[in-house]
Amino acid sequence: MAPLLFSASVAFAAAPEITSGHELSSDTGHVLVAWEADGPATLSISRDADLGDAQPLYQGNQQSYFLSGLESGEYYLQVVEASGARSQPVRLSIEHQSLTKALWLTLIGAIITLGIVVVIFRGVRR
Amino acid sequence: MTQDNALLAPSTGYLLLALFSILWIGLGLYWGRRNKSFEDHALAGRNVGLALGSATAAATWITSNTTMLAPQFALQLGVWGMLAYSTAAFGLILFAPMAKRIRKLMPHGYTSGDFFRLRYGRTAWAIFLVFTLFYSLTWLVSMAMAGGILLEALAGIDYVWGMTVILAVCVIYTMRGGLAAVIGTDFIQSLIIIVGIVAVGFAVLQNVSVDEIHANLSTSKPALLDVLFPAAIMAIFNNLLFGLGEVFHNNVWWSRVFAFREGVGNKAFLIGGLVWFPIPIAAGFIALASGALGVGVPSPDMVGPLVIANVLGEVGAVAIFVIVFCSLASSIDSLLAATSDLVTEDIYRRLLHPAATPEKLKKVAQTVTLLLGLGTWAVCVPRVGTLASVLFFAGPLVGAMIWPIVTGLYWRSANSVGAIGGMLLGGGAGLIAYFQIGWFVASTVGTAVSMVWVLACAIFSRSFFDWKMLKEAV
Amino acid sequence: MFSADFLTMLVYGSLIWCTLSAIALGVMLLRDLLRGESW
Repeated sequence: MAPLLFSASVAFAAAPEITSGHELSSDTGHVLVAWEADGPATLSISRDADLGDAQPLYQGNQQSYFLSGLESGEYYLQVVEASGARSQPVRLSIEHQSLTKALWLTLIGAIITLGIVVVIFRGVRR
Repeated sequence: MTQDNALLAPSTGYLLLALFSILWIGLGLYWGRRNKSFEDHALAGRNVGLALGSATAAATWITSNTTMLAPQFALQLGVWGMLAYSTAAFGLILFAPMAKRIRKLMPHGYTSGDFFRLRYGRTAWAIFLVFTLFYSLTWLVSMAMAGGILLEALAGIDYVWGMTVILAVCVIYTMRGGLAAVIGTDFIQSLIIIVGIVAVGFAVLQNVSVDEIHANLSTSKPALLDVLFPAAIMAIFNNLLFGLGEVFHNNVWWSRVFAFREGVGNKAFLIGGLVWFPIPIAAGFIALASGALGVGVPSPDMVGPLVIANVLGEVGAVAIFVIVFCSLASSIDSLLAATSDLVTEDIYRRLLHPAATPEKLKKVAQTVTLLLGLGTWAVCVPRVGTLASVLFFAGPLVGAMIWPIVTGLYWRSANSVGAIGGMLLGGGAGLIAYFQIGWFVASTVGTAVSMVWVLACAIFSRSFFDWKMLKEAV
Repeated sequence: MFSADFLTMLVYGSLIWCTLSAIALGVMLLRDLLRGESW
């Protein structure tokens, strides 16, 4: 009896899973990663698909983590439970917005602002 | 966020709420006794001094967004994110010389609506009313919702209860005390907020140095230190123009111009802006410390409270609760007061009942305040999450009003066609840009299109506005 | 990249600026109250 129950409970124990999606992407370097796991788990990140040099990001009971400030490139995320069970790795692609576009918009914004300042400080026009 | 994850016990939260509610309502009732007429109620006697004037400018512009969103901005967009947020201070700083001009041109004025009506005529006035009411009501709704959400996250207080208490307290002391109560409580709230942010900031620095924060960011969040972070750079002027649009058009600020004593407006807005400028940085940098402190952030909007709780424990949780409650109250009361005064003056008096007595108008203003509170409450109860983001649609609309207002105050050649076209074309173009390109260009596009139209109309115009037409007698 | 020195200046600068603001507002109010010019 007991061994049957034991093996049944092992069979139903699921591996942890990152629930935010199989492929994540961002154009701002930040993304919210959510997962399901039994008990405390560690979220790690790596530049290698085989998670060779994985760095731990977070270890604990929470089921989500806000990742930000990443530079453009490919990253791989994995959740590992305390028991050793590993989730499927998820690929995260970061491609920052065009710097040229950003600089043009900044220039336009600066010109408009300068115009406003000039009108205010020149004052009343006769 | 469940009750288990809350940083404070609900009983502590309710106690703090009760204490501050009694304080604000008590002061509102006390200061309200000096208000006899609509003018007293709406404009606090037209004699507010420099200290109260500066504090109310700063406090009203410090919203729960400033205290809760600044850390989130820093965590998402880094150093440029904090600096981009700070540019909103220019809304107040650039409004300072305009305040002097407005006071001179309209010594008997009540609202920004009065300006649009007298300067540009009824059509422009109607468009202005639609834009400003949309902005004001969405701002009010987003603040009330934020209040409920934050009280729930911080102390496990049920969303509807928390939101109801905050709204009810603000409605009561604003109804009874008018602008005087709003300005008086703003002074106290501004000091609490600033002292709180400074205390929290130094507490974080006791636990981790700036060098450690920098080192942690360099390794794990390098983009946040990037001088050429595209998304953050785009935010700089978009945020600045959104801020200019908000302050230049809204009756929250114009009512203060008319309420401040002669000669105070210019200095009060300048000082208010200077007081406000460092706050997004002081409040925001703590989010950059989250990595160095080992605080895992499950959701970006909670980074501020989580870091504070990490370094200060329950004392920190009380601090953030109080800071947030004060920043919410200082903005909600101003919105209630200014919007009810706009509706009373522009719609009730000027459109419907020009002969209404001052006492009658005061009662109408109080009733409108109550109705605004009830309406806001009704919209907030279902907690439609996307409602808070509707506020951002206002970016292009308020941006489109900048050039009509600024040229309208200084150039005789600015005319109605320019103003009407500027608002409609700019607002429309900005909204299209919002949906087609992104939020980060909407205000810039709206302002740019409006500017081109307004300038063209002014250059080719034969109009020669007589400034005396703005000196409408009471 | 923003340097550690720059970040130090920003952070301490903003905290000190805020402290001075609070003090200034308090002093200004006292002055206005003593002159009867608060509102």
